[in-house]
Amino acid sequence: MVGLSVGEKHFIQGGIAQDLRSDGRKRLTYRPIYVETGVIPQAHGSARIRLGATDVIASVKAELGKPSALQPDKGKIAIYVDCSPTAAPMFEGRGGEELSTELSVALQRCLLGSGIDPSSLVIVEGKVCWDLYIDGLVISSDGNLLDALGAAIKAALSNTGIPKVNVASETSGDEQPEVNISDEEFLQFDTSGIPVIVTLTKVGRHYIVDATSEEESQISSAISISINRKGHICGLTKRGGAGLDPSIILDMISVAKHVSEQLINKLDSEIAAAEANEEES
Amino acid sequence: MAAKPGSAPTTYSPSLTQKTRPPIFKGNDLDWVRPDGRGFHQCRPAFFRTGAVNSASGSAYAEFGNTKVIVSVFGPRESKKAMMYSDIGRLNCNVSYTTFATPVRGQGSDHKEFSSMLHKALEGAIMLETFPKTTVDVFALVLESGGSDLPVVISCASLALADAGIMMYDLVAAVSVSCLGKNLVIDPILEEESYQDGSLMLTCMPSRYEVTQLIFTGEWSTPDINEAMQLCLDACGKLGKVMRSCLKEATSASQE
Repeated sequence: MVGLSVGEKHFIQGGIAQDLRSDGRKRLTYRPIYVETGVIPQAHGSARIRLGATDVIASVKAELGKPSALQPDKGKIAIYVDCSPTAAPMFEGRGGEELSTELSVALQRCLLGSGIDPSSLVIVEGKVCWDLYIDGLVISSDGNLLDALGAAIKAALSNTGIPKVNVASETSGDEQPEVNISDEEFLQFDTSGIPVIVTLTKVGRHYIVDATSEEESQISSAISISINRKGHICGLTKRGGAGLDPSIILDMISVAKHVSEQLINKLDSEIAAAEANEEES
Repeated sequence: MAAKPGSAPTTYSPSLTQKTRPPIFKGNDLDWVRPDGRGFHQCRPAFFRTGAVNSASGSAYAEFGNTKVIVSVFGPRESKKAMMYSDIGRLNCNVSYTTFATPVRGQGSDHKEFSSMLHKALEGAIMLETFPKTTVDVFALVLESGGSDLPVVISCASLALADAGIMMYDLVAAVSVSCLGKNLVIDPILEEESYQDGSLMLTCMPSRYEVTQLIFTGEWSTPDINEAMQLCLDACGKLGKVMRSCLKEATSASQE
């Protein structure tokens, strides 16, 4: 974490008040997003997203498992985030655990609520289902990790090919049915319903989107909102300690909706371009 | 009955309840009554008592229906030497579940993120600059989990901090709302939480009308968000009054 002098703090806050941030962006502009898919051959789906100096990788692995007794017609999805020490030396060992847990929980809340449909993962109801493990890795951190991870997971899921499974003939009772995993055919996920996460940081009296780590050190409070294509809120977390007036929160929600439309379109076109690139190479 | 020497003690475990639980409400059934007979917008009666733990600087016990929580506050204490000098105080929060708190033993370890959520909810309300170089520890123990655990923990923790004499801008009251189909249900119990489509937890400082923590899960449309937030803010205002009266009772009791 950089230590900022009082002069630098005033500079950042003053610039934001005048709609001109340190790197020349406006308050509601994202840094350029670079997407690469298929970066991890061992995984069923993967993507790498670069947002300025923030670099994250998401990978999706599917394994056969048994659905839980309470929900026999749904598969299971788990999201874990790991902050690697390459991002910051304080992440070594257990140092990054708090941040990892916070990011994992926030992503689970935003993406699992209504983004992915677990009933599409079931193979034989009550006996066999796919367990989806989504892992995020933070390689380099320059602010706005949550948005980058959310976008990386969306890209990784659109890159994911779940192998087709042939179930052997009818088995009765408690026997485990035999399943053949085909190497050839794959099923793709429909990712148009997956939400994106927009983090709005309040500095002074204005909101900025996509804060760098310098700007993040100045936050009084931030709200991370996950919005899907239809404009519905799929999850919201308030971060930062200071209290916020409820009317400001509602205002931030409407600003986030406006920003998310552009972000979803930009992200979808980048993902499509990345997939096209991957197929050529 | 005396056990015969050398025989292993027999254990009894109840058989798993029916595998498919019928939903407690069907579709858009507007006549549905909540399992404990409350209205949709009615909270459970709140019971607070401060001074539950004698050896702590401050403590509080809260009981909302079946959710029972006890919180102790220690401090301000000297920060560990390994920590860097800081000219504002530090807050350290820990939320743990007893193993018998949940219907299935040991399920409380699923809630590791509650400690950091409690920290975020409280740090906006405490005047950290009044105890530099020291740490205040808040330890919360959930004795029985009956739904809506984290809001009860947060409210109880702010009472414990007040009991310990830590300077705060305002008490922190927390309430959660569950979305079940088209209905908004306030202060859900464990059963209602397992069927919810979405939930909202709001923590606010009632007198200052400021929200310190806000968490949504599930899909919400904007009018629902407005309605739910308004419900929560009203409920937090009433909860704040209950908490204040509990503190006044405690001080008047000690003066007698």
